[in-house]
Amino acid sequence: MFFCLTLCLFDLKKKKKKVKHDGNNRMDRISELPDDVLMGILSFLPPEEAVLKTSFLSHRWKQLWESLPVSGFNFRVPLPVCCRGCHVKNMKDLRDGKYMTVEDMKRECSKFVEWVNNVMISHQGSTIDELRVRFYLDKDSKRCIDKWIEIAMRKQVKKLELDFPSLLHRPSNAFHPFPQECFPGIEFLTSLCLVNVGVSDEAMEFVLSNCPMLETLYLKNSPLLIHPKISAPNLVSFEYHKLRKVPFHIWYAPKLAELDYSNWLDFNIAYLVSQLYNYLPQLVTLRLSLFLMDLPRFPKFTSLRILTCITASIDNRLLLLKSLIEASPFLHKFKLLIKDHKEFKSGIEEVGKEEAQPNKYLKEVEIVGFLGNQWKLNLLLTCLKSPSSLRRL
Amino acid sequence: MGSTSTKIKLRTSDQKVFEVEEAVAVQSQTIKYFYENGCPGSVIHVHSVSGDILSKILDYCKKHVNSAAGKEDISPEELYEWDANFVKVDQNTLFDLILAANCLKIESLLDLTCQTVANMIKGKRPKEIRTTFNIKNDYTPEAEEAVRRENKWAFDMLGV
Repeated sequence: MFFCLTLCLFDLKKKKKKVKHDGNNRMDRISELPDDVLMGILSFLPPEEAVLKTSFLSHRWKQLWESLPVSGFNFRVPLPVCCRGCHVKNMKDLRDGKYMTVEDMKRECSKFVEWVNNVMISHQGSTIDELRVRFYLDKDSKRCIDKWIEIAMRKQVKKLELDFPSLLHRPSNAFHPFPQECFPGIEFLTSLCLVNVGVSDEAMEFVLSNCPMLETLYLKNSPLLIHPKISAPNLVSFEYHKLRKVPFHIWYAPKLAELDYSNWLDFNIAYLVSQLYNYLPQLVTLRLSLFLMDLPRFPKFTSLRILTCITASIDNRLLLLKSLIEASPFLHKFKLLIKDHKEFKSGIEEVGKEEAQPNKYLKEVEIVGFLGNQWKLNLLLTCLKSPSSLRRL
Repeated sequence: MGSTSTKIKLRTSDQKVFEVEEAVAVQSQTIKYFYENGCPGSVIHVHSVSGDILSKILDYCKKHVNSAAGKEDISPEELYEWDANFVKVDQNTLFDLILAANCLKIESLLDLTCQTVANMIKGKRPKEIRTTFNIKNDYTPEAEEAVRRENKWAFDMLGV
C-alpha cells in the first residue's frame, strides 16, 4: 500500500518571481534565488569585496549586503613601503613606485576614510567579530576612527587591529590618540593589536581595566607609551615592540603564557628578569632579542616549551645562552636567529632535530642566519650538549 | 547493508520515480524528516526538483555516503576533485542544483554550489557580474554614477 505524501518544498509566499529576460532571452537565474541563499553566496566573499560588488548590481543586492551578517572587516589595502615626496596622482601610482606629495596623501586618506565610513555605516548586521584597519591615518582622522571603534564595539567586536603607519617622520603628538572612552560593548574585546597608534599609558590602562576578557595584547611603535602598567586577569599573550627602551610593568597577569619582546632593540635581559620574575615560571612561549652580555641568574622556566632568541653577531659569547637553556628543563623547541651587523638573513633553514642530553624534552633546534664555520658550530653544539649530528648550514 | 538495505521512493516534478537507499536519501534533511514522520513505504514527492537534477543530486549523495562509510576507497583530495568536477555544469543546472539543495536541505551540497557561484563573482567587475548572470540593473544612471563615485577608490586599491 502506498501513501502519497505531498512535499511542498517552496514556500510560495517567500518565493520571488523576479525572473527577467533580456534581449537574448537569457534568464536572470541568480535573482531567482531566495535571500538566504544569496547571502550564503555573499558570505563566501570577503566582506569588503562583497559590499563593493553587490552595491553596484541592483537595489536588491545592495539591501542584501546591508543585512548580511559578517564575521569581520579588513580595511587594509596594499601599501607601498617608501616615498620621497615627489608627485604622483594616486595611491596606485605610489604603489607602482612613483612619488606623491603631502596634499595628495591627504586626499588619499580622505578617500580611504570615506570608504570605511560608507561600509561601516551602511552595514546593518548586528555583530562584527573583527575589525582591522591599516592606512596612513593620523590625528586628523580621529573623529572618524573613533566612530569606527565605537560602531565596532557596539557590535561586540572581539578582535580589534589598528595600524596607522606614516611614510615620513611623524611627531609623536600627530599619531592618532587612542580614545580613552568607555564605548558600550568594549567589554567583549579579547584581542587588541595597536601598531603606530598614539595610545597613552592612561588610555592603555583604561582599556585594560574595561576589557576583562582580553587575552591577546600586541603593542608596536606606540610613541606615547611611557610607563605602561599591564594588569589584565585573562591576558595570555603579550607582545611588545618598541624602538626605545621603555620601562613596563606587568602588574597582574595570572594567565600570561606567551611573551614576545623580539623586536626590542637594545634589550637587556637582566631588566626582563627583574620585571617579570614572578611570571617567568609560567611562560610557555618566549621570544627575546638579547645582547649576549653577562646573563643574570634565571629562575627556573618550569613551563617553557618554545624559546626563540634573536641576537646580533655571536662570536664566543654564544656559550652564555647555555644558562638560559639550562634554566628551561622542559624546553621542546629552541630557535636561534642570528642577526648579522649588516644584514639580516631571513631564510629559515632548519639545522636538525635533536634529542639533547641535558634537556630530554628538547626535540627541535632551529638556527637561522648562521654564517659561521665548523668551529663555531661546534661551539654551539657544545652549548646545547647535543649529539654533534647537526647538518652544516 | 548493500542490496538488503531499505529503499525510499521519491517522485520528482516530472513524475519520475527513484528508488534510493535510505542512507543516501536521508542526506537530505527534508527527505529525512518526511521519511521519519510519514508512513512506511510511502512515496515522497519532491515537487520542485526534476528527474535530471534529482539524479545528479543522488550521485552526489551516494559518492559522499560511500566515501564516508569507507565503501569506496577515495582520498579527501580525490573527493575534492570529484566535487570540483561535479559543479562544472552550465549555469541553469548550477542554479537548479542550488535551489534543490536548498529545498532538500543538503548542507554540504549547498555550500559547494554557493562557493562555486561566489568563485564566479570573485575577480570580476560589477559590469561583468551583471553580464555573467544577466542581472537587470535597476539603478537610474544618476544613482549608478553616485554608487560608482563612492566606491571607485576602494575598487582601484583593492583591485577586485
